[in-house]
Amino acid sequence: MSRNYKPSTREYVGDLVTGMREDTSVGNATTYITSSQVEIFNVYGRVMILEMYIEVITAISTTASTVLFNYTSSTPVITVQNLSATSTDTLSDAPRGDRLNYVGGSVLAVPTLSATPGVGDEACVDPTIVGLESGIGSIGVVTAGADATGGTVQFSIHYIPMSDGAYVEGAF
Amino acid sequence: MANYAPSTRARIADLITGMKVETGTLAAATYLLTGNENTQMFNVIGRVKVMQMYLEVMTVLDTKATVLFFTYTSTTPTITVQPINAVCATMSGMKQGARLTCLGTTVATAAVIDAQTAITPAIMIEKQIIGLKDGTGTIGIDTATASMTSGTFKIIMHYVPASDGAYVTNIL
Repeated sequence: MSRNYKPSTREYVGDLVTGMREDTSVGNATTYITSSQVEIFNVYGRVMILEMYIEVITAISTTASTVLFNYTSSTPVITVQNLSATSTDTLSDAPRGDRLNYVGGSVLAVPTLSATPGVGDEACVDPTIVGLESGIGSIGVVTAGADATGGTVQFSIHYIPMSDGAYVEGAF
Repeated sequence: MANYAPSTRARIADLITGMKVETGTLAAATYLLTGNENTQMFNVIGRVKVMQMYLEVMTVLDTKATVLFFTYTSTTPTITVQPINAVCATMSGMKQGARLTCLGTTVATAAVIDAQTAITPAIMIEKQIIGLKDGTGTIGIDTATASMTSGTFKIIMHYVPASDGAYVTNIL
């Protein structure tokens, strides 16, 4: 029997099944797909990443940009640590709806671009615990290959708290 | 994106990855000792499913080559100490935020220490059921090889009941 849930109830069901979703704003690829380190999510305490991905909002330029996810802690100070390897898939000419997925399992795992725009055939199969009790840090990205010269992207994370009061918020 | 109260976020986490119970902050010099010291950390009433279990360092451990594995001991009925996993690599110099994680799967699987501080890409994927119906027991740690002289840590467990009335409480 199908349910006629309110949107807020549907959202709550989603949060219960795959963790709470936090999105960044839509950002210019020229700012967020570049060789300069940028922070995308602030992490308070210890959380488990259930899914994390970059979705293309408007098509990316013809630039062979690859992406690595990382984590940096400000309290206590922990210098930047890789969450993943650098993707081998590039975002060159990636159309709207393409997603580059953090896959988890190992800090050497390679983020993977979905084969088809709008179809997520790659996912975070092995969730990752990131952050620490009472810590303050951020998840960031850095690009290799080539800086994007056009297009826009949005970053999304689905997470659950693993320490008291832990949460994630978009850094922009 | 929902704007949940912290208590709602915590409830969502409980529903996805189990209820959290944790020890207080413990002195390594007291609990991470040589000689196969077996210290009980949690009471297990009935049968529970362990969803995640790990040790997190609160203040840096010194450079002693202490190793440990997790154990289960039942008092009702009497079951002598049983390993939950295999012994880990040395805990020497683990920094604040570093975790030693029980991976589940088999009792021959070693607990793993993070390669990168505050990032745990290897978590418990194949859960373990611990305890038994109407039983009373404990989960502990067995430590060996060297005695730590400084540093502090916590042990955190996320679980769900797997028999009527089952639950876990911290001992320390």
